[in-house]
Amino acid sequence: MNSSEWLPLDAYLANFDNMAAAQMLSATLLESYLKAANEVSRLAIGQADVAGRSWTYRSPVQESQHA
Amino acid sequence: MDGAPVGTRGGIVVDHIFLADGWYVFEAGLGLGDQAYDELDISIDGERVVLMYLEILHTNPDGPRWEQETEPIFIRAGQRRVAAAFIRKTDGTYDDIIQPYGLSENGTSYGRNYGITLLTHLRQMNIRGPDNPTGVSETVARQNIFFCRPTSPEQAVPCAREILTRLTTEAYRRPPNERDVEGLLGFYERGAAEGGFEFGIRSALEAPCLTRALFAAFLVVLPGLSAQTVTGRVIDQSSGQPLTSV
Repeated sequence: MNSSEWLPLDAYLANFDNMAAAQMLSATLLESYLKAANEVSRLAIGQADVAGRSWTYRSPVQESQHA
Repeated sequence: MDGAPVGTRGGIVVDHIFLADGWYVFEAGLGLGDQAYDELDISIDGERVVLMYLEILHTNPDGPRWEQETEPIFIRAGQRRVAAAFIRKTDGTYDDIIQPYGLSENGTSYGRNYGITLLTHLRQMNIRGPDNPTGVSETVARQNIFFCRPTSPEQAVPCAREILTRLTTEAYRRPPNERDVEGLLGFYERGAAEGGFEFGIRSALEAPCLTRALFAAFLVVLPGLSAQTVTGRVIDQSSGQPLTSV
């Protein structure tokens, strides 16, 4: 599970990314959190009536397929 | 490829979360290579579920078949390691005129051109489903969440309170106060009224998304969640201010 699928990186302040004063909450970011929360809780608990969907995983072009 | 079965080459290995027990189709997106045939092994948690015999070039009058899929395969819910990798048939290097860096796709040309040999590549893998879901089996994550189950309607709220208290204790790294749990129980009750006990718990676990609980809670219950998620931009439930960490 990779949080960057839903959430952007934290903002930097004085080259630190863990400073509360730099972390502003926009409407877009709030929506991202809500979407992430919905998806993560669904992944954790599962969903018996889930509709079928497709997930795509791509191989990096620099990854050898011979080894 | 790390995580792929012994005796294979290349491919893709992913930890995929299957949301429900049901029938899933695996589709291979192939590329490069000048082989007429190849074999793709698909395994779940180290056990082969299907061996795809790929007729790529010669038997199809419409041209190479770069997209091929399996029959539907029944898989139970939960996080599982899916590996799709080719059966290794040769060892050693190729004595080519041109050889791309690391035998990757980062080359100067495609595999069917003069002076270069590339084996079939797996460009991408699609996992499609579930069709006809039959329910949700017990998973590690569910066992970590539902450590009690109500056997009567009267037990539902106390059980939910126990679950949420335990999860928030681990997530907050301190015992939750009454306000923490009561707030989440409100979300539980609205969810439970809509979709039953499990949906109520799920709603309550969604709710702390703007408190210090969200990803920390799931760091506890979901194997494989990156620690990077437990950083900065989470909001303190009481003050409404961002926290520096949880």
